[in-house]
Amino acid sequence: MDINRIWKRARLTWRVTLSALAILTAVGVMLFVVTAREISDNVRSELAIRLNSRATSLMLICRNAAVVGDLASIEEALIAQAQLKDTASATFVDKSRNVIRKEGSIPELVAPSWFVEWLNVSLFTGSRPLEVGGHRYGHVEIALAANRAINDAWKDITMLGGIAFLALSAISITLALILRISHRPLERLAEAARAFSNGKLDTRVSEDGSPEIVEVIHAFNKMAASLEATLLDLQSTTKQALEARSSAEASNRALQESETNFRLMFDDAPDAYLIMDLNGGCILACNHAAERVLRGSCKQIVGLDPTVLSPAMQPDGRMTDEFVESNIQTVLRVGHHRFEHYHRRLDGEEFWAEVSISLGTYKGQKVMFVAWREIGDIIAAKQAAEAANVAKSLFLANMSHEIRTPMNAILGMADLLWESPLTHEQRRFVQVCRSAGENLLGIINDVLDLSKIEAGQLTLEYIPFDIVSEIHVVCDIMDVKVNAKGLQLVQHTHPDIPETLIGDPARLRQILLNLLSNAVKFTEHGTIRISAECTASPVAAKGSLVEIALRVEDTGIGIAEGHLSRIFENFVQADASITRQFGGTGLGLTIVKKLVEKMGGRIQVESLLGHGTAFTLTIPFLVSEKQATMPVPDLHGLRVLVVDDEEHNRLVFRKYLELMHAQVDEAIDGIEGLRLMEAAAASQDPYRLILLDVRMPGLHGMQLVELWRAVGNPAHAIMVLTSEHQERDLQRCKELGVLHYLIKPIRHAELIRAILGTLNISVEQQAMSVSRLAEIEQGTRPRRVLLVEDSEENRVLIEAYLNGAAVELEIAYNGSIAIDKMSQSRYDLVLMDMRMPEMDGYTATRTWRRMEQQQGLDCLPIIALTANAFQEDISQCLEAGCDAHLAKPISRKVLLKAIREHARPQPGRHATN
Amino acid sequence: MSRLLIRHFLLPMVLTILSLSAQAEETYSFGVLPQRSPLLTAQYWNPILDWVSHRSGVNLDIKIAQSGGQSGDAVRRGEYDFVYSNHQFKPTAAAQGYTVILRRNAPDIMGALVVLDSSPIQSARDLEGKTVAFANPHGFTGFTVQMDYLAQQGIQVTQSFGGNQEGALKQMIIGSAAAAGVNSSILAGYETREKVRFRVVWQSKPYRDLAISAHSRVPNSVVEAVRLAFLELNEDAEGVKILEASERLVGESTSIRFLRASQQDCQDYLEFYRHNVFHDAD
Repeated sequence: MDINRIWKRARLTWRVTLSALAILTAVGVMLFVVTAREISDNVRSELAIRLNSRATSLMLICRNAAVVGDLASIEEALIAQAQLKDTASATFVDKSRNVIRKEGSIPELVAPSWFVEWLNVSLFTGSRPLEVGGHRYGHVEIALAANRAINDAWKDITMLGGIAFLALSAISITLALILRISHRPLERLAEAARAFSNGKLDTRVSEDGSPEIVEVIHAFNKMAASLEATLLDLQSTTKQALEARSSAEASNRALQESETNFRLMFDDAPDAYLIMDLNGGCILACNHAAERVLRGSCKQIVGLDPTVLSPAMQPDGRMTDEFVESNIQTVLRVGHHRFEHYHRRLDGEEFWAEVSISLGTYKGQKVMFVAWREIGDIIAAKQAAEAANVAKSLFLANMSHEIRTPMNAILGMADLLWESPLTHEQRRFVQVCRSAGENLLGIINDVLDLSKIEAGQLTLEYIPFDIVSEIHVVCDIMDVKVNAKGLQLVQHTHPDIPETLIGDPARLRQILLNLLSNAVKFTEHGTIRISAECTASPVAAKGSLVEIALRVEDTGIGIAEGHLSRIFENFVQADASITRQFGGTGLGLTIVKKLVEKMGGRIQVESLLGHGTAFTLTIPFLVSEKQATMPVPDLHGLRVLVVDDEEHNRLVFRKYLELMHAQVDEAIDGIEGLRLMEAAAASQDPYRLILLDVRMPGLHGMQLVELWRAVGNPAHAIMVLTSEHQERDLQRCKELGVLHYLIKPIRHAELIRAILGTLNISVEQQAMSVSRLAEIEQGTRPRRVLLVEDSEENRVLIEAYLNGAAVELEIAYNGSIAIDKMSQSRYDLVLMDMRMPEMDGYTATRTWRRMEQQQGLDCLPIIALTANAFQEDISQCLEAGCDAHLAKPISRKVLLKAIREHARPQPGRHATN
Repeated sequence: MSRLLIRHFLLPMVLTILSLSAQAEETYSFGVLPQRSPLLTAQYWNPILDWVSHRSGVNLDIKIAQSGGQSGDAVRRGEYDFVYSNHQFKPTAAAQGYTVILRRNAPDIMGALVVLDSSPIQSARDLEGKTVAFANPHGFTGFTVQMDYLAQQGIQVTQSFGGNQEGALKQMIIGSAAAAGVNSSILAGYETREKVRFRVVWQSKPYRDLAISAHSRVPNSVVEAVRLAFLELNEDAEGVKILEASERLVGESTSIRFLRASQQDCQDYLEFYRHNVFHDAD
């Protein structure tokens, strides 16, 4: 009990020290016991061995002497044995029991008697018989005393005990000192804790001592800091809560006032107001004006289904239910909506009203606020205006048709005349005629477009399209003009651009063509560059929208800084001299700007007089959920050489190829290209793919291929790229074994397909791709085409266009005849004029599509030919079932291209007669 | 009748029994000439003598001297009741009246003077003035007969002792002596074992091996009992095992057998000492 009390009062230092002492003492005692026992065993073992040895030795000596009866020798042997260490006595006993004994000298015992008793090693005795040949002569005895061994053991034990005692003392003292020093920070910690508990919240303890104690102190400091912060926060929060409470009371008062005011305003508003639940299923409240408009009391109106306030069908034939549902969905999506609606009062009278709906909260639930304003007079005026507008539209459409149709014939004939043998003077006249006609057509198109835009009749399409493909298309279109002026057209589209966007591709194409036409017009030499990339705009961050920056830049004459602000105005060009020198109405950029703004975008222009101009369009597009995926081949480590003198082209190809992880080298002309190709071949690591431009200064592309082939090198890894198609180049490529002949600008997908073909498909397949390309270019595959056209001029023109091409052309004069012919014969393609007597193209196309569906026929490609270039006209053609649309006037190239793209062999659809 | 019976039958019987009983209580010393080390000699003879003692009922106490000279002295003084030796044939021991009772079946042995086969010495005469090696000055065929011959021939040699007869041969081989005096048995064994060729320049007549003799003071009954036991040793299975063990101990090639013998069987020794001219041995 006392020990327990003492232990409880003992400081940690004493506890640890005493515990360590106790443990070490116990260990020491155990070690002592084990060591002493080992010593005891060693003493026994040593004495036993010594006794055995000495007894045997004495026996051997005495045996010889005993045989000859030499007692003197025996006595000498006993004396010698007795003198040895530890021998107590040596004795000889003969067979007659006569004894000779010699005593030895034994050291005194130094060890205490308890140790001697504990060791339990007394006198060791042993005897050996003296026996020779079975005859016993007597025996010898040896007695060994363990005194010396015991004394040695005691000496060792005492020395070990002394060392153990010293070690124990040193350990205890050291331990006590260490603990004493280590506890000082704990004492400081205890004092700090007491201070902290007494309210001194900023109390902290210096972090020193052993790592464990430092950790404890650190934890205390952290806890103290945390508690201090929490307490301070609590005080602050309490203060804020009190403030918030008073603020909330003020807010409640303001809210009540606001509600009162709202109610007054709502009730007394001049317009009719209804509050409907979010689903439009019930009227929750109405104001006095609504009572007047609907001719009923508020009690009658509240709780009504809103559909009873409208006739079943709107004046334009739409079902009211669907119309209302559509408008509500718009409200839910956008947040507000304004539209005109035909209503019915409670007494049955119907009336027009402009309805404005917005989302809001009423009595804690989400509702729609519906404002009505009767617009019977406005509607009447609007209908009159719309009728006038329809008349204007009709006039414009008719004008468009009536002007374009003869223009088509005029320009077409001029083209044909241009290709016929002419004198120099005649050719100059025809050229003027063509140029003037094209200018006139452009002016007409611009005027019509502007008229529609300003009349607000322009509606944009929102359909999925590939913007990259559109850029390629406009580049294709501009290709002829660019080549004619000896310019380079470079396009670059960033790989990040989504494959499919939602927008109006036709209008975008119009914008780009306009800008590119301007660029070509005002550039005499150099490069025109068109590029597209995504911008990191906030709009893009929303996820469903992406903003595309389209840039058209040229190295032309540029625009003076003072004129930059005026170029987008109607009928304005930068300089009057421009009009004289380059022609044009000055409407192009106005239309571009209005179209871009209509699309929600913006346009910027930068220019440096004498150096060039750059237009940048930034237009938002919806990203289509259905993205076409173009597999990008992995050309990891593949060595590719791009030989092109145009830096932009090299950059574009490098970006494309590096996207495929190819290892790209560049050469700025044919000579460097050849040197690199030879060096690579010599190092046993030839280029696996070579993109080679044809037109380069010095050694041009075809010459490079010829030199390369002349020394026996294969050309199947070479892809020849050209900006202008030349039949002789294509033929030469085939002769030299070049498998791919591509015309710039090269689409990304087209390049991938060509690379895949070059690297993966067999030689036969590659050859086939070239022959197919040549075949298409040459138009050698016969196609059966039905031209449906009432205008003789146009029939003659198209017949002339197709003269010499691999096309079998048949004629139908109207839609009815066309249906008959299409029923009896099988065609690869139909060119359908849409405005014809008896049966127009729309009706004929719809009729044929229906017949196809009924009879299970394959879809026959039908291309609409119209003089109307408006989007709604194109949409109307496509809705009727046409596959494509060509606007008159149609050029020969455009016609042949359309036939190539759309005409497909119909194995089961050839003529049956 | 009864007196006659007691006088002629019972009394002699009782006296005989008492006499044998008294003999059985008495211990007779049996001296053995140490031809080998005393310990080996004791190992050889103790089993034989214990068996004979047990069989004969006569307590025999083996006595082995430190050397052949000491053993000869003891014989001359008549200290041994029985003795296995040839010192009893010397004239100096004749007074003790030792009588041969048994001998071993060992072949006869001859004394010889030998030189190395390559030695220029052709005859004993050539040894004049040379050193001749012997085992010790107490051997009969290893010293006495050779020296007697040399003395008779008037050949003066210097004696050198090698401790035993093989030691004498080694002294000759290393050149310390011109010749060696050894017996024929030792010579043959050494030549075979060491592949050394010797040439005998002189050889004595053959002599019997050592014999067991009884002192004249030993009663005849005791002598006969001992002799009978030795002879039974040859026939008894356990006795034969003891003899074979002793043969293996010393490496003897012939089987040891004890044969009845008389003084006549050792006449050659007596003849030698009757005519010898060399007397320095003892």
